[in-house]
Amino acid sequence: MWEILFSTHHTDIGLLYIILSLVAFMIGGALALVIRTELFLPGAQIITDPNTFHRIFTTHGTNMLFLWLLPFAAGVGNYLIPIMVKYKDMAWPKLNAVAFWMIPVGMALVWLGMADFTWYATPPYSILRAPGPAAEMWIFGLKILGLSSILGAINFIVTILKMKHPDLPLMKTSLFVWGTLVTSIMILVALPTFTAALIMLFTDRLGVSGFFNPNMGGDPIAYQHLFWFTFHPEVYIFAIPAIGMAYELIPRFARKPLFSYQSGVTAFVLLAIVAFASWAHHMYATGMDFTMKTTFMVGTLAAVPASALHVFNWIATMWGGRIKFSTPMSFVVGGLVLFFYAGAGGVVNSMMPLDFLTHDSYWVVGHFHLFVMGLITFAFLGMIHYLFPLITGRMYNERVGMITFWLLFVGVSMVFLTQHVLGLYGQPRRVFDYVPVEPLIIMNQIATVGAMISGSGAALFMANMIYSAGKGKPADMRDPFKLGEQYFDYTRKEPHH
Amino acid sequence: MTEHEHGEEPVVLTSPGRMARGIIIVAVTLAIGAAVVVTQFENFFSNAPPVTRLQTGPPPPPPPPAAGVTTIAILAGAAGQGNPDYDPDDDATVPMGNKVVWINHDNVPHTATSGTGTDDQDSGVLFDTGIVNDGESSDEIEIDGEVGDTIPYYCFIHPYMTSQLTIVEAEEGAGSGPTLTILLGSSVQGNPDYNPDPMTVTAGDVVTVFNADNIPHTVTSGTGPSDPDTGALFDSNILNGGDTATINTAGLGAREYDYYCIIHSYMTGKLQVTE
Repeated sequence: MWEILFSTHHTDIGLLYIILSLVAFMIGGALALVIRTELFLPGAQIITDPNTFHRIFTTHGTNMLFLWLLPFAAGVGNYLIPIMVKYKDMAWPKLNAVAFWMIPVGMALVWLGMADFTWYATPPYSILRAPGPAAEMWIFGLKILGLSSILGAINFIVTILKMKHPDLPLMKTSLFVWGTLVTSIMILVALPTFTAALIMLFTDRLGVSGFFNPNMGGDPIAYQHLFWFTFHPEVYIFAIPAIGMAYELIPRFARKPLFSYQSGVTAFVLLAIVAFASWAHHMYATGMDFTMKTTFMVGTLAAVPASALHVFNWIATMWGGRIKFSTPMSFVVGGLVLFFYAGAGGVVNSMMPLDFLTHDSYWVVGHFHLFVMGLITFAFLGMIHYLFPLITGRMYNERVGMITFWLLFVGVSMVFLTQHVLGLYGQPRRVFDYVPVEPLIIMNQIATVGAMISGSGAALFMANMIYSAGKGKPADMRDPFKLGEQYFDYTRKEPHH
Repeated sequence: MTEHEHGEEPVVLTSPGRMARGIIIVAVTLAIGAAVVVTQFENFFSNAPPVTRLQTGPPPPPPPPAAGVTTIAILAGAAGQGNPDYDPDDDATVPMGNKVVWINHDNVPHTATSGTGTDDQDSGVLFDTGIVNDGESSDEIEIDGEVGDTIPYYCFIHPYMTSQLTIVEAEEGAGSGPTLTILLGSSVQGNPDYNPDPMTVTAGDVVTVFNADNIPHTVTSGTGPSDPDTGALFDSNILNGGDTATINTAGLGAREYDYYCIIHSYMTGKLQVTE
């Protein structure tokens, strides 16, 4: 273990990324269970102080997005990208290690402070009221995590474009490579805006500037624009690596070549471009003029064909294949189903009239969780099962893996589909209490039970990973999933540096 | 420490022992973190943002000196030489910053022009109403001068009508009555709006209304928009942020009056007029 901590080798860094992200997934999930338990009944039970509730869901959100989704994708990228482009390591191994080691620092700041202004840190509250030093710790934590993402993205881009084996054309690389490339470029384009906004937020809190401080003539809406210019594309930055992982897994487990490589690449690039055309659909309710709202509505809908290209590509690949529903494939197909629900909800929600009803309600919570938990986390969990033999040389317990899948699939559907309806019934998000009427109580209880089921699935998953990594059966490294093809070709010409 | 090798096949089978050590490292890290969070939970959440110190430091500045209006009457019959002309006459005082309105009660036009007479070289330099027709009022004239200045003026048409006014400290002046402030943030329902509320004045006081908010408000007599007598007794009209207006209570009987803001009808206040 110690030698890994100081290593710069891509598989070691990748493993560190994955371990850290799984730890974040578990502790963030624990907070989610606290939130859901509190909401099991109306009134205050386990959390009596609304501020504590705010701090818990703020940390939950920040943690899940920046410490689970991003580092996990980076970890898998670290493992696979050098193998896939046939290079001995990442382009800059030391930069890679630096990028990783910034994450625990950011993580410590976010978790120790536990700020309370939601993961949007929306002014004017975040400037005028949010207590410090939690708020400052959050701002600097995010700053460090953002810098880490940028360094990682630069490393991936250079590795893919410059260190690729000369005999391997870019159009022959795996779609996961394409996904990582597109994601990394998006990070470089999107992130500087939020980085600037964070600095402005900090100086506003100090009172030396008033960018977003209405008392000083600033405009809080401007923050929302800067924030969402980064974080709407960020949604795709989270999703595209997961889609790339699905492209890795589906053809292998369907035992059939990918239906269309070309359309996959096209859809990635399209998605990356239209991701920048829809940020203000988070802000319909801020009083934008009609032309602007319409523009962003159309921009949002433009993401639908690109996403549909991916879905059709997956379905067409599976069609007529000899599908082996092992744990990885089950997770990916389950994620595909939930992705469909999430997408359908998203399309209707991008229509302004409905959005005015659902804005800041539990509908939105259900919708984006179906994305991040449904599509993205499911693809990630599928991938971790698939990579398990590569990482540990052992095989996880397939039966436990399948139980994990069903627990999570049922649990996640129960929580987040119900939350859509809760939102339509008018329950606002970010509340720790709600009106004690029968429909709200029943639906909140369904959601809480679903969360418990998902939580037990996640705990079982971790137990399976930990136990199998130490005591699992050694895997057949040629073809651990009995798919009749080469697992990973990691024989490289260059020796380890 | 042994350097572990990444050979042809990078996979190293992990032993339960190594796994346990790894878990211990993670668990110890988490435990330390949890200990810090639990013991420091409130401490990390106790400081107000520094920007609030800027706001709470000095109390909000008092409203600027009442920029009200002082009125001076031009009496009926003033055109006749020897008749009383301006009222108040030589002892007129104008609070610093106030504007002056001359009201012509006579049946011929008059002016109020600074200077001692038509042969004064500086006649009309400091202020000049221009011709005020019979029965009309002059514009609100700004008086250019310092506290303590005594400025002679006369009627350009009837130069034997002479008078003077003295600029005094803002709060000493006859026209600078009590000030009713519309507080910053009044437009938000539930926020404090009028200050003082209720306000007690003596009949005859000229109340200066100062809008310290940054959006327009009014002080309009009545209980609300549905009151048929809205604005019948007094009305400030719309005051933009930073503007002032005056309400003369001379014509009001001694009782309590309701008023409200016609733009934000939840902003209401009471004015108590005493003898």
